[in-house]
Amino acid sequence: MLRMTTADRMTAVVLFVLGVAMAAGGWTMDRLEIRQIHPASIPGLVPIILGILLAVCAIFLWRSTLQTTEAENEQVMADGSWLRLVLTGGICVLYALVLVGALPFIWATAAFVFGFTLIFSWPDRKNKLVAVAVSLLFGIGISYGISALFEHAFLVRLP
Amino acid sequence: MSGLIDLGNALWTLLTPITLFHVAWSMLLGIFVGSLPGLTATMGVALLTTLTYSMDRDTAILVLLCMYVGAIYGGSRSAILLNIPGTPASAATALDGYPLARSGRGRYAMGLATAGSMIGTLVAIVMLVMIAPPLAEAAISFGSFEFFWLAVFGVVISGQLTADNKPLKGYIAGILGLMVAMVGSEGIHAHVRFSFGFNDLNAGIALIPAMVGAFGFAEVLTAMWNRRGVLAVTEDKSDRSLPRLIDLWRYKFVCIRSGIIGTLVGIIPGVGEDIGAWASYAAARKTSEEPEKYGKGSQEGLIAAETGNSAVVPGSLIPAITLAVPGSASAAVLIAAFFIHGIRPGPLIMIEQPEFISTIAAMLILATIAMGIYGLSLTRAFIQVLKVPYAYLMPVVFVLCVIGTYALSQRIFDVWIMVFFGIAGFLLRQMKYPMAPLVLGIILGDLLDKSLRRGLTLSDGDLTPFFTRPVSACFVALIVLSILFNLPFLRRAVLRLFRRRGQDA
Amino acid sequence: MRIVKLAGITGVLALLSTPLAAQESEYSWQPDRPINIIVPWAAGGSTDQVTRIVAPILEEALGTEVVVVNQPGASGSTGTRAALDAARDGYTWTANAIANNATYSVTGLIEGTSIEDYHIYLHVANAPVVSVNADSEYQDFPALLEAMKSGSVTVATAGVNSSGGMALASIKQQAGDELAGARMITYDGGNPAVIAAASGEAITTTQLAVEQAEMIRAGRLRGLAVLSDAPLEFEGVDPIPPITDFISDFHVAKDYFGVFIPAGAPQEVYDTVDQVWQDHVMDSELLKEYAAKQGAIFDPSYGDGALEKAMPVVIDEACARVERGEAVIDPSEIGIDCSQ
Repeated sequence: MLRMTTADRMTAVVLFVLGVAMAAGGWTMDRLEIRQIHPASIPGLVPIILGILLAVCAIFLWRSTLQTTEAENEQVMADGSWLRLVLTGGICVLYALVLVGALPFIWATAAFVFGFTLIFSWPDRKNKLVAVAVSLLFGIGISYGISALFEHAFLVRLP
Repeated sequence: MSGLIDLGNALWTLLTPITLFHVAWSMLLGIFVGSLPGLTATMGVALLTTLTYSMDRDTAILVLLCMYVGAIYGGSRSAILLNIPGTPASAATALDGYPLARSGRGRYAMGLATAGSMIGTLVAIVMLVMIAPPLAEAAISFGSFEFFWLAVFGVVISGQLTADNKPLKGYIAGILGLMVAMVGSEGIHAHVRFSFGFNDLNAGIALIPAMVGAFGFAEVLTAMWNRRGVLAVTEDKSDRSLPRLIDLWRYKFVCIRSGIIGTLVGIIPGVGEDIGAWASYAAARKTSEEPEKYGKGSQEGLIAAETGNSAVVPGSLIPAITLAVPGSASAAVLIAAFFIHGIRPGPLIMIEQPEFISTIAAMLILATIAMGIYGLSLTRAFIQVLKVPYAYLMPVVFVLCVIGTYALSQRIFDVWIMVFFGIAGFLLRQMKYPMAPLVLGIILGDLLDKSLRRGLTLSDGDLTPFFTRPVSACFVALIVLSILFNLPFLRRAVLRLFRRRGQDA
Repeated sequence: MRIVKLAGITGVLALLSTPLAAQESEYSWQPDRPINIIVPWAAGGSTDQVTRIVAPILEEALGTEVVVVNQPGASGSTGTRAALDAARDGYTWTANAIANNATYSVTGLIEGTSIEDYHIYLHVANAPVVSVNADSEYQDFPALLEAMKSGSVTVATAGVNSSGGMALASIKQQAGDELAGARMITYDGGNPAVIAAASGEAITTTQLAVEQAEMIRAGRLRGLAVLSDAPLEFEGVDPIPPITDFISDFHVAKDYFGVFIPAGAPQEVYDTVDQVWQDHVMDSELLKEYAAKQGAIFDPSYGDGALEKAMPVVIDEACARVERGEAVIDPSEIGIDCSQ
């Protein structure tokens, strides 16, 4: 049960650290004295300003959580399915970061589409054999179609 | 008048079979994307951009505009039939469209929505042709100082108006976007910032992978996370989808006013179709003779909302073309697409490519006509489209996200960027951070950074020109006022002041 | 029946394709998709202008689309890097002043690159012009130079590594003064820099004549001196005096522009473009016309001839960086000897 105030406080801390880090990064950034640039045009200027602004906003965000009444304090990420989210995120990341690059694009894609379709159509299909068959056909078809489209129509060298 | 002649000429040159073919498929695709809950206009435009690399300039822009117009319009389908807006732009449409559908007049409601969308787009096209050239003319005199404030204004106002209840979250999203833009080689001294030793970050974070992540992958996650609405179409008793002319005539003022409001909302940087629809809807309700019907199936409310959101599309292109400041999130992607195809939006566009605005307007007119034809002929087909299960749709969308970002510069690194922005975008959205200011920040960060440091070099480190030049001073006043009015204690003070005055009287 | 039909179609196709193939085989390389020329500067700048004239000539000769893509940013290094990072298949070229590409590693904008990374094809040479806003008080070059020494003058350029930035640096060096009063303002390209000077945001600009021609003709800018040893003449304007009138021993190498194909593509790509350059560019009326109108010098070359022409300006440029303390590597690392 994550309440919005808790979530906001956590993000406030993260944002504050991020802001300070960026301001510090801007401050220590090369001032390019060797190139004799105008001192008002140092590359770190805007990062310093943005870092400070973000840190200030983070403080305001923290403060605003103190004023929130219980009624306004809605739940975060409460009205969805964690199982589906984790499954989706996991499969997608596995595909984008691992499979593509490790396998030829067309096989990686076929495997991904097959897996995704099978997992999410599993509960709705009575005949599990049909589910597997449909997913397999769909995965190969889509993978072939998209690969052909990009390779031959858009002339992309697939990974 | 010469604007209209140019428009006519542009339209005439566009009227070739191949152009019409492109309009036909991209518009259909746009309506399809828009009507499916979980696929939004920005996502459609971003994904389609990745497919236009190899097209010629005009074709690419034509299909992207059709996608944009079609998706915003298509959102009304699911809003009316499912009570789920296909895109956020159609949230107001659902209020009156769904009750109409439930009372068995779904097809007629869709016909009205089509008519409203067409009128809204047309009103906004006229305003685009009238406003954009003088605006570009005026912007030529903008110097570094003015462009700096314009960038600040864009991020602030978008942060303010798109945040749900706390403008603070909008500002934070805007600053985060600006920070993303700081990564990579900067435009004044070519110094590489925050690359953390990754050579791939030297050129900065490209907008298209970031957008495909924040609007594609993040929406795949959101769609799978949410429980899905049920298609709740009752037996449709209405026999016609073509609105009676008399009905349209009755709502002529509502239509035109909503069109103007939508266009103006579109011009405001980073404030998009959803707000255009709500603003028109609220205005129509306020002046309506039968406000009690609103929310229960008012035809007037439906038409106001649909006219309002469609008018934002050409409206958002006005600043996008003339100032390179996007009027909506989708327009931000369009700007990135312009650059990819060798068009540099900005005040110089009227000098470098004077025919560009008429060409855009002519393309929008073709899109509007296609919208009308599809809208009136395909009402039944849409109900079938809405039944495509996510289990089949979403993996295809994600594959397109991956291969689309890869195709841009053929490096795997962009895919990582896409995944990162997808997850970050999903989390930020769950915590009610709006996406539009983030996108605006990414696209305006470079302009803000360069203009500030260029201005400071021009003035030899002196800050005064930022406040004393007339246009700069106006921007400063606008920014300060809008921020101050949102500080809680100040707003309370102003309200108290008004209340006391009310009691005195 | 069906087989006969098929054979018929094949026959017709074969017939149709024969003359086409014969025509194309004039060159050993036949590109099968569009060629991109990355211009690492904004549209309307010197590189962009001339590249957009050359592109259609190449397009016709090669029989494929040649697309000019503007990728400005960071003194031209952003787009150049993109061209170097692209697949070396002959389909991604870049266009620039050769002195830029050959010295990006000296200024540290792109590590480890040199003129060896390209096959170069040159078409015109350009000279920078020192101009002031038409409303400014400076009527001649000595007055402006005086203000740069002791007063406060903003100079619009497209960055340290652009032609304008180099011109300012070489004035500094050869006028024998730090020019402490001159502040360089960096814009996204030659065209934005010239507009900034014409609109009065900056007082002067040292960008190339071709970029300023329109504004000088329109009376928005006043040309004070051209960095060359001969006066600059172009249509509709009084001749602009050479800088040697004011600083008599001012030395300037010709600043050559061209299109460059990154090395490493199949040899037939370079052979073909060599031939195309010889047949279609060396005597191009279009380019000659452009040069006369915009104040450029038409002087095309390719292969070893181009390298020979390019080296003086490359050496000047690299060594000037060393003298000003802006070099991050010793130019001898990329085969440029500054000791002479």
